[in-house]
Amino acid sequence: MREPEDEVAFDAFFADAWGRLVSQAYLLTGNRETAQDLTQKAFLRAWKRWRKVTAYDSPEAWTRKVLHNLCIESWRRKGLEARHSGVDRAEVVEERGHDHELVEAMKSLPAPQARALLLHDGLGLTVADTARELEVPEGTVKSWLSRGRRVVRAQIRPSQEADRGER
Amino acid sequence: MTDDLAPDEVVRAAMAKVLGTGRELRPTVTAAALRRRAWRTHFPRIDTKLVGASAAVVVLVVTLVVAGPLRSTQPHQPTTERTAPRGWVAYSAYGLQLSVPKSWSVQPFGQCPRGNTLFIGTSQFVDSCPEFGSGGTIVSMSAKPDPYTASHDGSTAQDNAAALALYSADVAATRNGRSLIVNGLRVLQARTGSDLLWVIPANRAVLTGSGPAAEKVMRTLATVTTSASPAPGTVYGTAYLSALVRVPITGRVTYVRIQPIDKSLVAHSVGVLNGNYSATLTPGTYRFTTADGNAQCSSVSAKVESGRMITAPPIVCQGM
Repeated sequence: MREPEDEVAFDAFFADAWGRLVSQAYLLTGNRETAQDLTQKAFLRAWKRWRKVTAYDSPEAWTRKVLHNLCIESWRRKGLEARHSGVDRAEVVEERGHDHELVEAMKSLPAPQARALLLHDGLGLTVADTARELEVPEGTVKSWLSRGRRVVRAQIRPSQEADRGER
Repeated sequence: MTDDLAPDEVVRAAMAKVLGTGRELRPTVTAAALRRRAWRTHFPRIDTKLVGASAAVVVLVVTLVVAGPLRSTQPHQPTTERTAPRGWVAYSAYGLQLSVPKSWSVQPFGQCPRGNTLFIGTSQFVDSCPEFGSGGTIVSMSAKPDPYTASHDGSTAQDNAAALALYSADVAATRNGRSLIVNGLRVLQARTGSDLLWVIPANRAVLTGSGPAAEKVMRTLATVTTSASPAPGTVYGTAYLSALVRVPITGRVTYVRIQPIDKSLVAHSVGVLNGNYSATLTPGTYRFTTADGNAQCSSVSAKVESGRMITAPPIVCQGM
């Protein structure tokens, strides 16, 4: 049975962390509705295990981990649907332009690399914190970051250059 | 931030821009509504729309298979029948069996893979699992359509849509995919990279596999035999005191297997919290009851089937 103070704490957590988490879901899925739905689902799971979640050092880190896994699962599902329904993979991502290219570049990475890149380059976590969250050695994180950046840069570079050309 | 790895400005700038766009997305529900949904979905009602839609999909599959469009224009290429290697262990559900090495982790309704893992029944292994995507082999066997599959956890329209979309993908897959005969069973196969999706229309079952040993394990699929260990099923139930108002019970629910009868006649019990209980049990018919002070409580029975989640009738205690 949850207490009223749990509800207050959860509501405050929801209000505080929503923006940060939904933006990550958007970066990983490239679709607004999917990002909102998955973020809500992650919060729902956090609430279902609220006592356990609040016992952790960072409830947001726990929820973020759940959210990232939901997004990665979504990649798999959508990739499967796209491949077998004849839809071009690019069409799965609704948003166009540079958002789309970054999202597609992230999707082309192995899931742990994509998470490492998001945590470090997107959210500004240190290598040590990223390693702690991914439960891998720091050296592994550095290697993932290096490889991940190379792949992402290669895919978003044309857009960046186009950007500069427009100015 | 102390960091000995030089940041890549191009990547960081691109991410900052997309994160900024994403940050503008507002929630479509309030926190309070989300909390209420958690209560509702803890013991979800069967979604009639999902049942209807799932039934329609099944009818479509059966029709297409029978009528021909999904039937391969080429003769089936029966695959070599492979029995499981010596020492492997067979598990059954949905009239099927699948064999895995003894060292594998076998998880009915499991949550997190542990090394090489066989999931039977609906699993939710995306939930914060340390070994998710770690390179082991994961094979899952579940039934479709299964209303609980979609509504057990999130119970959102998107879940239902996703479940149906997957099933639709199964159907579409037969255009690009293959029709196989595996140990006498007709299987529709879709392959994405190293991931495999098998639909067994006759049993309304779905197998998924990823990882190096997935196909080898899936090739042991066969019609159930007595040598296989039946996977357990899960029963969900409610218990309440019916007085002036309906009061959820907290305490214990006792149960005994009545078919096949448990000759030891030992009753077991499981906790009931705020009127809700659940138990994962070997297949059979069970009788459940509870006690609440001097109130007279009904007993209810429910049939547990391998790999399925069922809902038992409510236990009602009549108060003063």
